[in-house]
Formats: sequence, C-alpha cells, structure tokens
Amino acid sequence: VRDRGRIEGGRPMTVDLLGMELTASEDRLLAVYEELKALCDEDLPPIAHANVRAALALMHNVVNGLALRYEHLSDLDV
Amino acid sequence: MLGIIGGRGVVADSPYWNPKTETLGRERLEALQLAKLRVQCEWAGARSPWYRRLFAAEGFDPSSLSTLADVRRVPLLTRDDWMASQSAEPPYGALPTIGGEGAIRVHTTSGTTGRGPLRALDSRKDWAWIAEMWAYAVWGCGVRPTDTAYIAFGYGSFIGFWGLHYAMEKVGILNVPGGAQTTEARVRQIVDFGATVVASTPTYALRLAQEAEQLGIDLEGSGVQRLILSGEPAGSIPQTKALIEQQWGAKAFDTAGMTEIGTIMVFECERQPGGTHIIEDHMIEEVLDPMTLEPVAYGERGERVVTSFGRGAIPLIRYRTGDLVCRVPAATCSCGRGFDIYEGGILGRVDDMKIIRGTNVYPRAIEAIVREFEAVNEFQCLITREGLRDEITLRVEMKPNWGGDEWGPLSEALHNRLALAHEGLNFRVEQAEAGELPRFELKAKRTVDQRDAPIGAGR
Repeated sequence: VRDRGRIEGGRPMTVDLLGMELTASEDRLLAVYEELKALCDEDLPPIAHANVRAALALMHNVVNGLALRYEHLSDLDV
Repeated sequence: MLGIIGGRGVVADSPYWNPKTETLGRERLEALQLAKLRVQCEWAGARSPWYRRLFAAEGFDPSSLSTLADVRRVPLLTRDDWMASQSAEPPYGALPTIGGEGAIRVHTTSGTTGRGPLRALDSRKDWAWIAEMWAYAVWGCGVRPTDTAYIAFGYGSFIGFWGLHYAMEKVGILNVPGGAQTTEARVRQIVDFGATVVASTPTYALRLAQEAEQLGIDLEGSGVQRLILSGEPAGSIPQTKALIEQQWGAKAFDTAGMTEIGTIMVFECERQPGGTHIIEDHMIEEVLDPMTLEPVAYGERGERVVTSFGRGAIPLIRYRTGDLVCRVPAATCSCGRGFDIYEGGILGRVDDMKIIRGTNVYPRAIEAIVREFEAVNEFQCLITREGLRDEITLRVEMKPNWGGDEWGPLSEALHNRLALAHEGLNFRVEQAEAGELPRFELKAKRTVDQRDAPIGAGR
C-alpha cells in the first residue's frame, strides 16, 4: 500500500495511500508515529509504557486521517 | 522547572477538520477506500474467528479485491449474526480480533428494541478513532475551541455521546458533562456555565426546552448557538428541527451513528444542504434494495450497508444496518466536501413501516405532521387490532398553557392532515392528560404496535 523503497537524492521518499508525495509536515508526522511504534518494543517503566501507547493511539488518527498509513495496532497493545 | 513554551503553531482557518480527505474528488476517495478495504479484509480474515470462517465458507479471498465494486463480493453481516455469535460464545462472540484483555472499554447498544444488547470492545486506537469521527462533525458544524459545550447524556454503558465528549476535549472545547442530572438541573447548568453548544437527542432537546419554559428560563436569550443532535431520525425531520431551533433560538445540526461502529458515520455541515455528509474516508456506505440486495441509484431509497475502517478489535464489514436512506451526490451541497450526502438524514428503519388496512404508515411522516402543531407537547401513535380491523390512534398531550376550548378544531385539523397524507386513512385523535405520555432521553419510541403483543402487554 505504501512505497517506502524509493530513494531520491540520498533521502528516503515516501508516498501516501493515494500515491502522492508527502509534504514536509507529513514526513515529520509519520516519523513521530514510527518512533512511537518503535518505543512500544522497548522495556519501559509503567509511566512511559502507558503514555507512549496513548500517544500512539492519537497519532494513528493523524496518519490514518491524512492517508499516510492505515493499519491496526493490537499487536502493540494499542 | 516551569516554563512557557513558545512557538505554538496556528490552527488552520479551515471549515474542514481534515481538508486533505474531505475535499477529495470521487475517484481519489474511492481509491483510498479500496486501499483501506484490502487492509481491513485481510486483517479480519486473519484475526477474527468469525470472518475467517465466513470467508472460507463463502470462498472469499481478500487479495482478490481489485476494484471498489468488488466490495459486493464480501458476504453481508447482520445484527442477528452478531447476536447469535455472542450467545454461542459469550460474552463477546467470535467477531472480535482481541479478547477483553486487549481492550480498554466495552460499550453496549441501548437495548430499546427489547432484544439483548450488543457488546462492543474497543482498543486504545479504536477508542481514539471513535472520538475522531465526532471531531469531523464538531468542526464541520462550526464549533471551535472558544465554545463551551454541554452534553445532556447519561454517561452509562450505552455508547451514546461518549465519543462526542472526547472529541470536544480533543478540539479544545470547555466541556460540561451533563450526566446524572435531572432535566431541571441540566437546564440550569446550561445557563449557569454559559454553554454555547448543547448536545442531546432531538426529543430531549424539546424536553429541555419544555422544562426551561416551566422554570421561566429564556433559552432563546441564552448563549446557546448550536445544538448537536443524534440518536433519532428526528434531527433531520424539517418540522421537528424547526421547532427545536425556534425553542432554543439556535441552529440544530443532525448527526447519526451506531454502537456497531462505535461512533457517527454522518454529520450535517454549516451549509445545511438538507442532509448529512457521509464520512467517506473512514467508511464505505452502500445503499441496497433490502429485498434484492442490489445497489440502488442516487436519489432512491434503500438500506444502509456499512463497512467501517475504524475498529480493529471488531471489524465491521458490509453490515446491514436496517437504516432507510436516500443518497445524493456531494455536489448537492456547496460546502466543498467530496463526501456524498444522505438526503433527509436517516429516514427511519427499513422495518418500521406499519401497514394499517392496506395503507403504509411511517412514524417519521406522522411526526412531521404533528410537529406542525405548536400546541402539541408530546404524542404517541397507538396501533391496535379490534376484532379483525386494525385501528390507529394518535394520542396527543397539549402544552400546559394551551387553551382547552380549542381541542375540537385542533383535533379535526390533525385528523384531516394525517388522513390527507395517508390515502384517507382514518386516524383517531385523542387528548392525553398532562404528563401521561412517556418522555424519552434516548431513542424515543412513540409508535406502539399492540397487534402482535400478548393480551394486556403495553397497557
């Protein structure tokens, strides 16, 4: 659904679910989302474990709503 | 250390919550729907025991979805299917992709139909999405962070306005939860807190206005500018909507949702084109002939069948809602959204038509006529069988300050209007005592059909 393989000018390029290139803001939003997902794999204290998941649930609204990414997150307990 | 964070961004001055997708043209919107449909079907087939069995039995392979029209190859799901699964494998049935341990909430249907309630699980992500759909409506009807909202809702296990509450918080609106209050207390709080937005069912908006009048509180002179209505089709019945707007001195905006998807699927924008926009970047809404299950054209009535991309815990794919709708193109509205419209909102239920001596009678049509009569406070439509003959009786409760000697002309006018709209069907019109008829906070049930009920039931 999403092309993360293209490289242009040494920088990873991504397109949204409609095949459009991401804007600079969308690129950053997607990076935040991916970072939160990555943090879910970390061994975190309860305060971080819960709040990272709460933040990820909200960020999913952003990337899903902007047609950047659509997936379910049950495997991350989100 | 405390500090002031500088460099706060600016909220775009946009009439749309999500400009990117709300303004998509039809072709791109459908491309987005197809992309999400593939993911949702693959997810459901892999994770939900129900869908795994269903897809295998019907020979459906999610990877075979190549156009949006292929959605019709996915088997339909009914409420009876869901209930049967819930009964066979309590408490949640085989639809969920997770167990209770992976969820953060469970909500139920209202139970007003007399059947057992559906139980719906939500994960953190799903619950965040539920509020997100309400945010489309909140923003779309012009509510902004400077508003103060009052939600006149019981905050129980019925999902109701829970999602709206969280959407208001998300948008940054001061939110007054109006749970566990008497109607009088709610009216006073609305005024005391200076609410500019009130959310309730259409029926309860009228009830609040009645209460305010009895308390001598001038709602028209209050700060309330907008009413967000949901839970009943009446929010899009022009006569009922006009009555609510007149009593509150505010604009009313209709929305509609269902527990099965957890949130709303349609909302009325500020342009108010006479219907509600479908949130099409998060759902596929089909309109089918309920008998043939073939799609109907724009402008024709049919049954709503919804596929939601929101819930991962309980995927809802091609769910027969039983809602009667009439879909028209997005261009019917001048707001610029690409989302199609349900003209007149939810028109009723496919199965709520009553046949009285060969004449079709719809509760919505009766309500539209009764609301033309300002002196009527509450009403009930009673259908009985007397010997071999069906009878329909409209029972009306008048406003307290109504002049009693006008009953004759008023009842005759009601009788004639109802007969004219129903092929000459003879409606009995009776006056009920003040306070005699039931009042409703949620999902008003004003049509009582006693023909199939056991003797003595409903008396």
